[in-house]
Amino acid sequence: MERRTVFRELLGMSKRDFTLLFSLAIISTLLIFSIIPEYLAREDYRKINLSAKLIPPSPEYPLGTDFLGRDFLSLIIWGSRYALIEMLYPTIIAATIGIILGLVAGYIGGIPDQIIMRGVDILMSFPSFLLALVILNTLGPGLENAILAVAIGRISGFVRLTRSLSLPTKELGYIEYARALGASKLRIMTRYILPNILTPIIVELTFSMPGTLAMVAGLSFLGLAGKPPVADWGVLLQQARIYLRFAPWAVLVPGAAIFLVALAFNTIGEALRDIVDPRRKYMRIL
Amino acid sequence: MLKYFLKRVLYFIPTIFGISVIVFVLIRMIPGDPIEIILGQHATPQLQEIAKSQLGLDQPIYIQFFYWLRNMLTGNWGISLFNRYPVSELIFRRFSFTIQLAVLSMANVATFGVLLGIIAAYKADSMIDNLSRNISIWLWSAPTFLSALILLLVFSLYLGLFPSMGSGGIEYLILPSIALSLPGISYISRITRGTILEVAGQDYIRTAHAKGLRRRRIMFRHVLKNSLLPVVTMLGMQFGWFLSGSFIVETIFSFPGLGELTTRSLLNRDYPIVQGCTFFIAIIYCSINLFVDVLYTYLDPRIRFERRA
Repeated sequence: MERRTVFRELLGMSKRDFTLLFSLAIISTLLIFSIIPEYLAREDYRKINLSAKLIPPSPEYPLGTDFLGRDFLSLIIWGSRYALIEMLYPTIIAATIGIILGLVAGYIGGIPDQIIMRGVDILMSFPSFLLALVILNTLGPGLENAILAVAIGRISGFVRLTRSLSLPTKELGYIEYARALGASKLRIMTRYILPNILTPIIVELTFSMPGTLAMVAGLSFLGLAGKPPVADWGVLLQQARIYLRFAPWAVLVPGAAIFLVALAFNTIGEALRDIVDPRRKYMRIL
Repeated sequence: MLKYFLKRVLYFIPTIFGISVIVFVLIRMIPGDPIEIILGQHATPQLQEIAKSQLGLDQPIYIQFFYWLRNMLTGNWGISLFNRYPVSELIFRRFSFTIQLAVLSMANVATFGVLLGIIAAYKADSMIDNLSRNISIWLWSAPTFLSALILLLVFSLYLGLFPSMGSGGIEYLILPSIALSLPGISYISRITRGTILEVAGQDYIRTAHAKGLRRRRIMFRHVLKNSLLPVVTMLGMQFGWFLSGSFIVETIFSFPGLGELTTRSLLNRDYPIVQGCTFFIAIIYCSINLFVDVLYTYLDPRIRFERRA
């Protein structure tokens, strides 16, 4: 299906589906927040005001303040950019590597396929969070390394998906025709197979984003990814944890931000899947 | 079948080897000199040399790897850098707690996930179905640390119904197991609903309807029996996931399981424990997956046939 049509259909569906409309609104807000936080946030995220620390949500501070007296609404706006980075970068890195390896394994087959798939088996023997944890431990803490560690843990899923999609595709007549015309393997993989299997991969990308966000936030929560005073949502959660009893909003606000973004991506992913593959509609499993 | 089984077990050997290589490399690549960690910064060069040869660190790296692999496979996993406790003993003790948590979480997921799925499928496209779909996607989207913190806040800090940390009786297991099982419940309920509806659309079910059998009877006798197989596999994989320890939930509830041990030792830089945990968890995790896969093939003759072909 034409990808532009998919987008148009998504917009059409959102007229009937309130949750979908809400999700699209959340993603648009996230994008706007992350592009121009300096114009939208009332306060700088480095501005400390200890006389206003841990104020509950009130007209002056709609989402309350944190233990340094920073306005939570501003912090959430500043943190959007990190959230977007933490979703996009690991997913893009993992998808790029995964698609290349998956195409090679699926189209060329033989020994390269064996090697790649054994590697995938080994990567999949580790629970993904554990893998990210130990890789991050070796690379050293920090946001860049966390992104890399999470990305490595996600590669195997994309390899398997791409491989399983390209296996039936390579048997199709037009691929044989291209081969008969003397197209190189690289050309067949990139020009003839990839465009035809890209749509389900894009659906998978949408589902992957909230997972990576939660994982990086989890690593931040353990103090291994982002570092204060950055307004990263996971870092905010980690700092607020010890005030849980006295200032629950300090945990709930960044937590709710992560939750809403995840909800939005999952809803959109599900809608995309319905559009791309209507036959599977009753099989939707989130 | 036996051939397939043997093939899978044979594939398991290179996987274990691969896991070992990854764990070895990841632990070796950690910045910092192990000799310096053990002896401190002010040891004489002679002393450092002696320690190096005692630990086998003067050998080439592949020899070191094989010594290390022999130790790992014989259960000689070293001692904690902090309290000199044998790593294997520590891991097994912590694992017994993780098993308790895993069993309870698994019971949650199997009961509520399957039940919700059956109800949603039985009332497909009704309001109940829509509601369960929405709840599922909400539960699926909430990261476990958020649900764990909310449960902790409401049921432990405010209402005081359950202890907020530690271990002991079943009351210590309830909140962590709920937090852990929420995404699983939503996932399993969706799978259950999907497979039931898929089976319900098949010809022999239409025949059963045509024969005039009652709807409930068809549902339980004919549909459920055939649709629970994929659910059972998914449940098995969930169990592997629970058994591998839940790093964040256990940390939040200070629950003395494998996950908490791993994250704590990682933050304390107690590398023998990190190494032991990683190795142990990976072996457990992929053995369960292997078991589930073989079981699935055994239970469903169609797949057995496909794989042979």
